[in-house]
Amino acid sequence: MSEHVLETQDLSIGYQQSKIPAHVVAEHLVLSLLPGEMVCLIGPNGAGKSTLLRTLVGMQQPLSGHVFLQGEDVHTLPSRKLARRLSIVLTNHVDVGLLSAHDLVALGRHPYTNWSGRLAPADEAVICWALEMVGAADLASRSVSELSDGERQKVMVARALAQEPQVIVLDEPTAYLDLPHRVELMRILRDLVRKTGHAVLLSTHDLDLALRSADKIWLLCDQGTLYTGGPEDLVLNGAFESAFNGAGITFDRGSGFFNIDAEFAGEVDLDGEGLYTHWTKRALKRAGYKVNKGGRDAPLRVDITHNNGDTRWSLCAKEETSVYSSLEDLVAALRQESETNHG
Amino acid sequence: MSTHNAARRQAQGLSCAQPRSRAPLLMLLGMVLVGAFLLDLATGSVMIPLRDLLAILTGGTPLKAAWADIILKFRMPKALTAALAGAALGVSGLQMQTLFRNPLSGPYVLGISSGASFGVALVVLLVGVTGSTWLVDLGLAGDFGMALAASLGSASVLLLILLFARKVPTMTLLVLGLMFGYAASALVNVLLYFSVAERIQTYISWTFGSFGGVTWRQMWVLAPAVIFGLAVAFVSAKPLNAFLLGETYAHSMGVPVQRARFGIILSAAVLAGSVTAFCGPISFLGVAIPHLCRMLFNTSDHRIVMPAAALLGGSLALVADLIAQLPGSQVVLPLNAVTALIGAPVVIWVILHKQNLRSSFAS
Repeated sequence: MSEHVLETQDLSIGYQQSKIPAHVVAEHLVLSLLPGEMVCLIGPNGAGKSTLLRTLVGMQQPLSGHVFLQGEDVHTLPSRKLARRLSIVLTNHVDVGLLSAHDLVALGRHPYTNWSGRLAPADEAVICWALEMVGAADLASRSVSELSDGERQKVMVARALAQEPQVIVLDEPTAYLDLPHRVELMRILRDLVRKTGHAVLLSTHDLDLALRSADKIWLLCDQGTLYTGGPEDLVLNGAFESAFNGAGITFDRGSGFFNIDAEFAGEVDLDGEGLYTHWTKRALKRAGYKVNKGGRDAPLRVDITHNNGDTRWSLCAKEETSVYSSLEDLVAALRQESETNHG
Repeated sequence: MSTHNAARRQAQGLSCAQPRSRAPLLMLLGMVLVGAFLLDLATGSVMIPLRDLLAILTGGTPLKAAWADIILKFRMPKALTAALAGAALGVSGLQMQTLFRNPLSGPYVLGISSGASFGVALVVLLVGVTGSTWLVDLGLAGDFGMALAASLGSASVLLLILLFARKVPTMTLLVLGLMFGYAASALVNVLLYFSVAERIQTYISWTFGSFGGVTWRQMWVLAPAVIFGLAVAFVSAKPLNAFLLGETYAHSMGVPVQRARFGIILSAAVLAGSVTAFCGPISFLGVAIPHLCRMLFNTSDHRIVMPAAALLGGSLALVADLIAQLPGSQVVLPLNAVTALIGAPVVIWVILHKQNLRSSFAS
């Protein structure tokens, strides 16, 4: 299946108000989603991720160009028809009142039920299927107000699924979740696209998770430049660096992590390999020290010794040696050292 | 697509919590309504035994011939009015609470009752100022004149609101309604200031609220208006459910947000406006009934709560009327005093007891 389920044609997005010239967020966007594909939209705050999503789902008019959903323009498609092809999950926490998870997912059947909203057996089957797909079948009879943020977000995805769309768009679905629940939600969405052939587009601030789970990344930068491609391709071609490098932060292509630029406090010699050396290096970098491997006669030197399961860090400074039993103490001592040296 | 349908068919066999049926409880509420209706007919300054009451209702002859007149000419229109008004206030209060996502909303948040009050004040108090001449000559100072003035007052606020309903966001509408209300109250105050004591007395007793002023002739206006409002409201139950998630989600689920909102406001305003026109501004019921229904049924699903609000609203209005008559005595208490005095403790008890108000309207 190579048919695009959603594609844009020379799309320009932004805000148009009468009297004021239009504020253009991004221009000439050519984007597409394939069935069974999970795409993460990432980019710095204020780059226009929400504007792009709102335009793609038909909630905001484009400045020019079109968004086609299975060949039909989302901005002219009747809302009931659109609702059968595309559903959304929003960031904000909605208080739905006294509804069970089942009732909440049942709201997703809206575009299929008659005027009274009566649920046919087929609708009930879809509701159960949707809950099952997100691993929330056991929550069905629980009240939504009693659910944790993680559980609630799963139920919201099930609700979107109950609309039986081809495309699900999620605006920062992991924003309020802790790490395990973020990972779980991404896994659920990945499984979903694999099993059902839905196309899933989600915006997120969680770059690491996006790099690990997306089939494709849309990277929207401040100036309205949009890079698309496989996550690893975007790392290798430097797109990530140019998008996020800024005050006090650099993207490390090697590790795929961001480094916090600390103030330069001095140099430290550190020898060795393995787990303890790795984390000692991290601690020293955090304190703002440049770490040299193999005695280059820096004014400071750290040695790690293991003795009967105890680990000690000894710090040599001007022929004085102090021993610490934790990295916390070591870093505190280094801070004091640099303060006496510099001021 | 094919994979996804297959997965769905697989799911047909899955068991999944079905919502438990609320039909028995709704039927019970229906029976309560019938019971309250009969009780309201039977009680009053003259107590009429149930056997004779049923005889009158089925076309037989009661023990005393006068009882038939009391029932058919006075108590029947009063009881019908109470049932219709209670249902109307309960349902429109529910609609407003959901639309504005606010537990303190009621039928009058849009300024409907203030408009009616202004209409009535204009008629009643101007009669005082102009020396009760031409308005009385036109028959406009009587009960029917007050109903007409109230209808015109609430209808003009209704039209203003509907004019804005399609153009401004929902929350702006709430503020607009509040402002209309303040403006109307201010005008009423000016009229009161320049009026004479006995006219003010007439106006004040209208604000107490009463189900007793509706004649059979007026019933031909009230009943169709309430039935129309209830019919539109019941069609709005489905979009109201979607509005529980907010307007953005509602739109994404294919709800025509503008049209749905217009229907909700139209029906709520017709319900509140017609009741206020004929019974005065009846407080409390419209705010309390939706809460009681949500707690009783433990759901916000409008397909259940809305019929419940109609049934419970009718029943409670009948009970309030019954108590206001002080059965066996000639004294009649102000209806609004009864609804709030009896109702407030009940609602406080329910809220403290059930503690699920927070779930319905968590911040």
